[in-house]
Amino acid sequence: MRLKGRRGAVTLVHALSKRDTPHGPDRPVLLLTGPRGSGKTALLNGIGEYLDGRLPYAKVDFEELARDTVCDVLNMISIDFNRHGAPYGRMAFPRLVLGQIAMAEPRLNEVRALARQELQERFEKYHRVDELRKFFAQAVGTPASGATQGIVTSDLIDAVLGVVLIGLRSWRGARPVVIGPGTSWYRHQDRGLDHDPLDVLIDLNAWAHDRDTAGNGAKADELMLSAFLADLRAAFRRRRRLRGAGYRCVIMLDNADTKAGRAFLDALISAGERQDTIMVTATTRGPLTTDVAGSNRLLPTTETADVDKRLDARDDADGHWFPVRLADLTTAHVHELVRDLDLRRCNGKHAEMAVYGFTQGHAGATALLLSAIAQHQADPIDLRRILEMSPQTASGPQTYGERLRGMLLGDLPDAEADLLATCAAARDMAEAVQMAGQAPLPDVRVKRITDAEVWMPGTSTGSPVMHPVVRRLLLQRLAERDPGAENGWTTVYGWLRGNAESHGDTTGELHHALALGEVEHVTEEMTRRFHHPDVPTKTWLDELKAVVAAPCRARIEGPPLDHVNGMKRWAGYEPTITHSVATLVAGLWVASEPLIDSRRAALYQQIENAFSELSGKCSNDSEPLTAEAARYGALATRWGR
Amino acid sequence: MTQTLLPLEENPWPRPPRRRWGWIVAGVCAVVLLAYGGFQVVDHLSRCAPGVARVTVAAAGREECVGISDSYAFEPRFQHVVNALITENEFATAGGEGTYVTVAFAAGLTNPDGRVVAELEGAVAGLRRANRENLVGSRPLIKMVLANMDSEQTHWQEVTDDLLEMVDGPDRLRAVVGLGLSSDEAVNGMRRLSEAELPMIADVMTADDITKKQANGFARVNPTVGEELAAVAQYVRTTEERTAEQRSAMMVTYSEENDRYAAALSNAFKTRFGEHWKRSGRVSNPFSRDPGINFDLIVGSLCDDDSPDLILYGGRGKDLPAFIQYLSQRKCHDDEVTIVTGSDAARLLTDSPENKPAVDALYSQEKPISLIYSPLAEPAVLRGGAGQPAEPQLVKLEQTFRDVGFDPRHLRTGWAIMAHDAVLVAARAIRLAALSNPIPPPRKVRDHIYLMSPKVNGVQGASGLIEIDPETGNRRIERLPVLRLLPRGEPEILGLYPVR
Repeated sequence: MRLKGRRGAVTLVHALSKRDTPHGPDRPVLLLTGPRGSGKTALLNGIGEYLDGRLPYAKVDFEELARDTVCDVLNMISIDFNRHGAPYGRMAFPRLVLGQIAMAEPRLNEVRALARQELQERFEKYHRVDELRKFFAQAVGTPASGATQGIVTSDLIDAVLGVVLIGLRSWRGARPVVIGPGTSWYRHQDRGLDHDPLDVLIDLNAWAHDRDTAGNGAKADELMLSAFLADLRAAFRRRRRLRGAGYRCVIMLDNADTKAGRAFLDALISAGERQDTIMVTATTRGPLTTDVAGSNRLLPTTETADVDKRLDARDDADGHWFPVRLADLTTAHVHELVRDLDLRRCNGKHAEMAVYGFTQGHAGATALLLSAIAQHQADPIDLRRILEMSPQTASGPQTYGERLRGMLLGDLPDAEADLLATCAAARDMAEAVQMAGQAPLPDVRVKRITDAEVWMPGTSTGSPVMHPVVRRLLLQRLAERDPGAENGWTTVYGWLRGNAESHGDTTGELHHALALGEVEHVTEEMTRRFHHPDVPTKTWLDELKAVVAAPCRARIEGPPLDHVNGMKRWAGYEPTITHSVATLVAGLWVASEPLIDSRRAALYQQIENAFSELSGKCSNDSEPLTAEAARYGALATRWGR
Repeated sequence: MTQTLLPLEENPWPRPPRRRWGWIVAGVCAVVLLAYGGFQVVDHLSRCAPGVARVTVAAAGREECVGISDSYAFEPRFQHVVNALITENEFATAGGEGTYVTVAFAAGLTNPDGRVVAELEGAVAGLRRANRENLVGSRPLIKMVLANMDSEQTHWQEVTDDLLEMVDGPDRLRAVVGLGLSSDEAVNGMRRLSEAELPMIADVMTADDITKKQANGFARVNPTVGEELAAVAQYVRTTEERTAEQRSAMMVTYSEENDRYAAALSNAFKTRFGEHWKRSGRVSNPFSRDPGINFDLIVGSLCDDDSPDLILYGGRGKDLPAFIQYLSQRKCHDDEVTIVTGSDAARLLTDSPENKPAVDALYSQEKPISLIYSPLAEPAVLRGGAGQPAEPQLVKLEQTFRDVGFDPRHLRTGWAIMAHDAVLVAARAIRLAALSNPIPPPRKVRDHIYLMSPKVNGVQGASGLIEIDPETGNRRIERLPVLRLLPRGEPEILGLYPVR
């Protein structure tokens, strides 16, 4: 299966990787935001496939790094640039290597003159190529990440070292006779300075040994990053083909939410002003985006983001960042995926709609469920049953549901998963935060909730919400608890209902009441509001949609319509407005449950009829109801055989 | 989860510009070309084409071209198939490296047997359908190379070594289909391929003793000899019950040791026709590579008073026309003699001069001969004969044959159908494996071959639904048709009989 729907993201990276555009040299860090399993890593890998042999690029996964200082990451990047940019020839990093030698040396004498002598003597050691290779091989260390996956061959090491040999060898006696590029840069650092290079390197040695003192670590990182960028500029100056290609080298930082990832990005942004040799993209599950762009702002997706507009907006509030959300798959993409699957023993159209209805286009969840359906083809398609099945592979007894949980939540500790399951009852992060310290979540601090990686910033102008498929899984965990327990379904939703009521949030109150199964109460209220002369039909319909989006605790098995009929039996069979509203409340509520099986045509038919009946009884604007009737009529056809 | 995001032709980053070392390169090229030209003259004598060596095949007593190629027709008689293959490969590889994987069709392609052409036509038709129709998924696309192990498959080692090198090469070999006939050479080759965890899907390899246990990764889409003869034996018993007559049988066996098909026939005759054979006093007549005189003596033995009327023919189809011809000239035994044999009898369906006397004999009223067998796949049955529903994929395969200019009559023998189905099985396994990795490793593809066991996971081939038994690699078959061979027209369908 090919990962679909990433054209926009590739286009963004491509546009930002161009040099010599009217927008000047600065490029913001493209921050790709998406929940676990949404395909961020796959996207970076795919972009890597594109770039391979066409442009020097590097990919660093911060969750897999064994050594994660800024220097370690720079080493990996320098190796990767040489690994993937072969057509452009070797890219040497003499300034970076020289600085690292100074940092790696034991602490130098505090007396400056003696320190100079010591450093010169130690540099002498690296006049021998094998010593220098040995040093850098140790600096690169055992490959532990995507950046240095594969073998770091001596060729790659030689490529990175390249010119530094000349630089070091030129240093003779107490004073350098010829200052090579590696050493001379430390004199001016591209900032018009006039320091003695040896003094700068002695300072660097001191900072490296006292990283935690007075910002020494940041100073060392910044200097190394500046050296790295200067090496890159030199490479672009020296390599006509690289310059002529018209593109920057691409650095892809995966899982940049980690401490090391943030530190690297901070250092990069501090050191990277007005440079046109690199383009940086980083992925985040949300926290980093929240920090740089806030949590209540609607962000563009990879499909809607406009690079020119962003680059034109020089005083953009995002400063050095360009946060975008990784777009979910569309129904068209899911359709293509299903078409590739060759489903012969189940209805492909149903598979497509059922999977999309559950995953809402979450790439990883969609791929997993489609492969499960392909392996266990059956009609009707029952996602709940499939989630409880195990794949026919030797990979262990895990069910698809467990695999999905692993994909979406990672190895979350039980306590954390429990907390998030309770939070999932809330409609958004703001509502979840209100539970902190209250009955459902006593002793829980707000920060613990807001720091969780499940909230997706930028999906709306309101508070961040969970991805629907993540929320659905967490709600299942909530549903499995004793409903009457302190953190059980009834208690949590009871609290949320009371909380909404106390804030005058009628829709919220009805939403949570429906989650508690109070179809009759909700129907009565919605019927009352339907009759209310001040409530326009469109408003009523919006309220109805918000209310019926409530989750359902009960397992709905078998034909969904049977459940709806059971829920609205109290409304009798006369074609009254109450009966129609009851049909809509119960019907839409059940229809919003993504794990009902594929025998949905009759359900949608009944919803269509209820909307039609209601539109006939509507005293003012019936058009929105007629439109909804038509929409559900079309759905009934699509879910038919 | 490395995935290709868009077709590579849509890669927005251009390829790096070429180096401008024009003159130096031109000079070096000129020298190299001159040297190369000289080398070519010498090389031409030892090579038939790139990757294809000219070798002497001792067993066949002639020079043949062996090796792997995606564009070289090892023999002019299948040049038309290779032309179609080139077109299909161009289609498959248009997206560039990383968008396709390769399947090899390996066999003794220079064997003069007509089976080779039919198999290749079926395989190429299968490739076309797998790449262009919504049948077994669509990504990655599949390229096919032809691997010739020589007419006797004696160069299996060299060719399998070359195949193994292709696993990590740019073409990413992910499955081998065909694999030739049931011989020791084929099994040796498969064992070597299984070291690279490659799946191997046989199309006409019928010997029962070749299973997954010999080479992990092995699977076959054809029935085994044991299954074929179980069905035929069931038919014979049913007839005996109906006519209340008991028949006796003599066995005619091939004495060369490395032919596992012949050995399987012999074993199955003993198991399935033990009673009939016992009634004749367990008469067993061996013949060897040059069977003329053997056949003459064997036919002579039919003149005994209580000579059997059922002949269990345990040789290859290539010797069958001669045997039938001898049998038609028997001096005694005017009643009908029935030959029972394996699916290799389909060779009599090919239009060749050496078959003609045997075909005439099968229609002769004097010294009548009837030949009964169970085929690999019989279009007359698959089109809805024997009360079976028609198999829609066969109709589509026939259309594909017409589309690419192959003769649909070549489907009669079942060889093309089997090769077609073997390619579909490989393609489906590759694509199922590609759900988790766009270029799946061979092991993943192999795993998916053995997951084709429940009905829902089977492959809809032109010969019906294909399920693979994960224990043996055999196709799961419940019943097989039993036919009376009538080469000039449709066979007489004697019924469908269980194989257990």
